Amino acid sequence: MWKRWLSLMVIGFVALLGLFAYQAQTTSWQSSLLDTLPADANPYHRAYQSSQQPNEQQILLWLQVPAQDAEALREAVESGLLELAAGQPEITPNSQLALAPMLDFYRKYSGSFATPADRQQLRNAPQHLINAAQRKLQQPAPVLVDITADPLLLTQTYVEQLPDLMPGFSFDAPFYVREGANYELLVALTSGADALSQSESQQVVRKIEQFTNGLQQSFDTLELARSGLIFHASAAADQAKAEMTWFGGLSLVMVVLLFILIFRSLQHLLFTLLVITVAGLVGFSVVMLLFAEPHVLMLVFATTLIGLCIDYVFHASIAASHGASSWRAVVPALWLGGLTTIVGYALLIFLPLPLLQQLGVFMAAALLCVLVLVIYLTPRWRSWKAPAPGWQRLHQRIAQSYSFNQSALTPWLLVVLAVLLATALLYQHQSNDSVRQLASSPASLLEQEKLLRDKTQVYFDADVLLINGDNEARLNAAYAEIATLLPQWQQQGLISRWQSLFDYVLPPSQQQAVITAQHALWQQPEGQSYLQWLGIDTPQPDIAGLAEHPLYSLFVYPMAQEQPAADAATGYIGVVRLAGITDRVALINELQNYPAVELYNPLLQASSALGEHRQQLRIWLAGLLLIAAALLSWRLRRSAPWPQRAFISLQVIAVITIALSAALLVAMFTQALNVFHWVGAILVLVLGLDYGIFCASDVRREHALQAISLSALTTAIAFGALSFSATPAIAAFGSVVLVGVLVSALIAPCIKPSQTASGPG
Amino acid sequence: MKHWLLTGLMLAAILMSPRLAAEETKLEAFIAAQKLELPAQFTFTQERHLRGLPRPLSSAGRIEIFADQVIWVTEEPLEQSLIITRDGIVEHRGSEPQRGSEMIAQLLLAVLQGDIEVIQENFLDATTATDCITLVPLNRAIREFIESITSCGSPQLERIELQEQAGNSSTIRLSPITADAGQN
Repeated sequence: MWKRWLSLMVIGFVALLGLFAYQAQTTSWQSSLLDTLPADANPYHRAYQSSQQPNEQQILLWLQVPAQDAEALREAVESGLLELAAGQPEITPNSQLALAPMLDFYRKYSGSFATPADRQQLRNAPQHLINAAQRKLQQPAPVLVDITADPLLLTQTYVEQLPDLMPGFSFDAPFYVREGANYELLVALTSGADALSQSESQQVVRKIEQFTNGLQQSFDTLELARSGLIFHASAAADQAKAEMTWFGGLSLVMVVLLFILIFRSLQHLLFTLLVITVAGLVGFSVVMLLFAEPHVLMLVFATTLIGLCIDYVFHASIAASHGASSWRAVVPALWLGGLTTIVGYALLIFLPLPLLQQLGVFMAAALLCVLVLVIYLTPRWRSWKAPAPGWQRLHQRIAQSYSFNQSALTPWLLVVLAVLLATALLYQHQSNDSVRQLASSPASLLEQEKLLRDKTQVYFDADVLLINGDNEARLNAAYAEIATLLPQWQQQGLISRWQSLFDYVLPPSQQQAVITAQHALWQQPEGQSYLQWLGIDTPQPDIAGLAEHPLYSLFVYPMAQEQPAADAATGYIGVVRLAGITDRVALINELQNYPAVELYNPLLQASSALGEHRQQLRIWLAGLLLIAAALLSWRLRRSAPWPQRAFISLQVIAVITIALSAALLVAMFTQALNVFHWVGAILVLVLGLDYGIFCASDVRREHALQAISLSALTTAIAFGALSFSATPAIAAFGSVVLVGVLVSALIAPCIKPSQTASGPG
Repeated sequence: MKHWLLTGLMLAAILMSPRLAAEETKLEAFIAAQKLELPAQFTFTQERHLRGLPRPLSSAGRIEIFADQVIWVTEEPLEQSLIITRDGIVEHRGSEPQRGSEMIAQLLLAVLQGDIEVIQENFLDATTATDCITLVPLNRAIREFIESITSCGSPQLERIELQEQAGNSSTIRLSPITADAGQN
């Protein structure tokens, strides 16, 4: 019979593995924080976000040497660029900044573009423009435009006044240079390496580092800074790897040592690993079955399964090692603890946030699997070895000590302490949902970014104006209207800088006005005389289609391309990049008359998403506490009268409240609370619930304490190590789990035992 | 086989190196011969052939070449005075240089002043004629505008031709103003 079940289980496991492997291949995982937002998020935001995640890497290098080394540095960089371009992944100068396509565009549409000053002169004093053009034509400088379409050289003047792509630097393809006492060189590079591929990104960083290290060896006086998302991603990957090696490795060694010291065998460890593996596979398979695009952040939160799984295995195996009666006593507690936790996680499905829904499904499915496996397999596993005698004696003494010190007031003290700490938490509560907590770039990289920001003005803030339109014509009209307001807002001090499509082109209506005004001039005697001097007929300039401009795709995005789904919003979005917003509220007020325009900041949006998650988790935790109180009052120690059950339930809830409040208050010493603290609080709550249930159940107290202390120690070691992480978000999670679980384990035995389970037995 | 190929390449390199050196010497010699004693003054006539115009645009005037600047005075058809320095081309002293004119100005200064170092740093020698040197800008941004600058006349600088990428060209003919003529 047992063998038949085992065969069935092996077949089931293989089938599960197959299902998991198939789904893993077909599932695409989301990684953007905005993907964790509810599905009804603004489609324009989503389109903008999609447009900002090109599958390529942008890199900017800044190099500075004393002026006498300029030529040598230039030669060294040029030869280095050849090496960067060779081999895979290819790293080449950024062609978006090339001059030739821009010149071709303005040459093609000569006579259609004019500066505001020239447009005014064209209306009021055209003879000045004729004189200026004649003077320009006799200068020994190149003529960039088609003179037959633009005899007044209006478009040449327009081109000369275009904003620099790299302000302060002159273009010396493929570099931007600035000469003075020092020679500064800016190199804009791009790589086709997949941003999501860690290995390709690491290769790009290695190639760049080899290149810059070579330069530093050749030039003692070289100052160098680099900027690019890829460096931060690579640093984060290196740091995660180092943390995984040290924290993960050390905590794993300590947990294994603990298992061996206490159980003197690997039996428990192997069983735990088996249960976690199967439950993990079940959880992931169900998530991939129900969600088309699960989020990678769910994987991080899903690690809490380990702590719960260890807890159930210990309780079950220790009880089983003490004989059939102990096993029978633990089973109801296991079901109650497990099912309460499963119900709690299942409630997450009703929250409107996809990430938490996915977590709820994963944990509910995986925990159900854990519970079934533990309750079914534990009594059938070959005989369980009892914990070391010293461990048993220690917990016997601890149980006696708790029992000895307990009085009739103890439960009330627990309740009072819970109320006091919860009040202190509410009173002291500080939160910070900034998305920057997710980043943990090394200080040197941040300094280099800052240096590059100071040296160049190519960087804008994350703030943008998003303009939408049903079609291109409407979008361009709305965009052009907003573009005319930008100088005004700058004068009002609302913004310091901007970058807009209309810094580089004129709207078709203004182009038409320029052409019409010139045409009127050519009908006048002074215009005709000038054309005769040149020997040409009346010019016929063409109006430029905005989409033809080489920079158009940096400012306007078609919605349909970004959202191919059936419910995709149609139309276009335009982007104005902003820097130095001084008064956000005033700027939003200015935009109130323009319904098609919105001030948008993806970082603030992502931070607000995190804040939303935090709020939802708080509500969920409070709801789960209430449901747990109701369930425990109903099911815990069913033989006892209702008031006693309610009183025990109240103590369990008090233990959880004390642990949660203490952990969050301690965490606030180092940083304001964020969503990751509350994710840690989930684990504290469900483990505290289990500890409370086992202490309040019929399980012998010293047996319960053996499992609780072991569970708390392993969880605290494994997750507590994360509190030393350099990434604030991970450290937040780790610190809450560390303090919360230890406090739960210390306080739970204070729950006043029932008559049958009290004392050392 | 590989050894023979390698030896052949080395031989070719050895044989070609004096030739390269000789070409450099020729450029240096040409520029050295043209080199003016500064300050120098010239009258000039400029003919600009702009694509699409049926006839060239002509202008005339004088230029004064100093160690740090060139004064470019057009007298016909419109009076105009330009100052060409390393910072760019300006119409009046103290005014802002025309945007992007600094690179063109530096190259013109180098050719007019016969500055061999600047010329060798910034140009590729693409000479084909015997009495002229044709210089191609090394700077790729400048090459977007200027295809080549040709300086003719040896030992006396007589003509400068500017070939633009857009298909336009300018020919500037120079005649020295002697001290006597200048006084007259």
